[in-house]
Amino acid sequence: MNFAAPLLLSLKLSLVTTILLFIVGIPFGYWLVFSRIRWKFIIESIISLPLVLPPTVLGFYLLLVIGGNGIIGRWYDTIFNKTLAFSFEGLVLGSCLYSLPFAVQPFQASFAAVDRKLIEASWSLGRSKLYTFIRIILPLSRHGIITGCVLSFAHTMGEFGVVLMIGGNIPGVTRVASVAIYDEVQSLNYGTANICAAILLLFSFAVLAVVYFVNRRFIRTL
Amino acid sequence: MFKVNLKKTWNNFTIKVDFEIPLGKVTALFGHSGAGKSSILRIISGLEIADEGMISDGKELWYDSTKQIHLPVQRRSIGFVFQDPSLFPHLTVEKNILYGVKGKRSLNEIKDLISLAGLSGYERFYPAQLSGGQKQRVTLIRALVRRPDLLLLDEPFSALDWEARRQLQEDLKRIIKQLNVTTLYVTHDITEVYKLADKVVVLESGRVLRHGTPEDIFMGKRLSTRIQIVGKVVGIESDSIMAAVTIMHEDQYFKALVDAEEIERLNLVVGDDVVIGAKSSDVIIFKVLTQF
Repeated sequence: MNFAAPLLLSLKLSLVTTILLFIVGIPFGYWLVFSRIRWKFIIESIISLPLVLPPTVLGFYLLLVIGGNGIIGRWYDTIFNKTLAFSFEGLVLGSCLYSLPFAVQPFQASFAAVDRKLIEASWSLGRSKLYTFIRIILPLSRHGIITGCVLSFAHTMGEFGVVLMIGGNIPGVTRVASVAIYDEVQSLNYGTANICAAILLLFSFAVLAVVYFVNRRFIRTL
Repeated sequence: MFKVNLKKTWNNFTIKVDFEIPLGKVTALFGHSGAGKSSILRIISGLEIADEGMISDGKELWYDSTKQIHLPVQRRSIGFVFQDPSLFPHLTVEKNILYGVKGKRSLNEIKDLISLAGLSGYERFYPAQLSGGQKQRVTLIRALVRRPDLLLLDEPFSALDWEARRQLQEDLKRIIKQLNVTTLYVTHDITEVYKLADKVVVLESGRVLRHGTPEDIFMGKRLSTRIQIVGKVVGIESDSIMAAVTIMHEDQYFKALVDAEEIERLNLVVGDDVVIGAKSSDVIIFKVLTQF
């Protein structure tokens, strides 16, 4: 069996998900730290749901929403003339929702850890909130941002339940590495499954090791 | 003249003050911990909002509750130096200093300021490579480089050791005098008030108790003294008639002989801050002989 295609698909999905979560998660994390809205805890709870929810539950409800009869599914069909469920785009949406807490929570924690006095010092020097965020909060939170990105990437690489529910097992489209391993095991091809699993394990470990090593050097230079 | 009239209530504490800050002078906001000094500074800066009142720089209203005016901190022409150095750890000294500068500024002017604070040669250092005193100097220059209308200093020396504090007090006095910047200075150290302030506003429990010159405030009346030494009482030896009071001023000790009754009247104890005053006619000068 050719394991390169599912692995490459997993990599592509992880990369796209991580980039999107970086773009969405940073303002989200900032809002969660600095907003004074009372009902913030409800949003925090919703974001954290994937941490405790079985992936099949999340996948099931997503399927209802993005399926042919779902609100988002119908809307997507009208605009792009294709279904969102069982497509790569659908997988990206599911992965983003499933890995959201893995990105937002480290971002949020690192923003909250920036000394309030530094932020106030920047404001008192005439700098806007946006300028302060870009020049002070972001650089001082890089440890948390890198951690959030690594966790999102690694979590998406190993994603199985949600992917299977909303993407199925279409070779070249939604058949990611974890689903391919499951397939091989179902077909009793333990040898192939073992090779696939070992590649995934080594790859995930290598990515994490490199990023944490770089991250540690960042902190040292701070 | 800056005018400050504000009221703010937290759970069990209310600040209600009304005072003025003369232009080009150093005004000390003096009081014990919990008197509300730092909170007043934060409200003037715009980092916190008063419940009611008015803050004006003499030309423009910074805050007016009746007119619902509240200039955000970014639009108030202030320089704020906090208790602990608040330098951006990922920026060099030079980048910290230039952080608040918008538009082009003469390099010479910035170099002069850096030199004025004794920081020449440290431009490419990171805050972690500086001593506590150097960090506060950078914070001070960073606040001043924007040419603020009002410099706010919140006990800027409290985190420093005695030697660094003394040096920085001298530097601050020199820099403020040279730049002629209006300053509001929070302190609970009477020695600093004498060294730096032209005017004192004494606070107690969120209220202005008194205001005036340091001499007016701490000596009760204006004395025709020419010599004043501010220090801390470190020892009192007393019999029924006379008392010898040992006073520490910076790194030197002075012994003053006074009536024992005076000690009782002033309720003087070890640890009190005191001022020794002497008329010029009472002072005798000896020339120190270097060759015998």
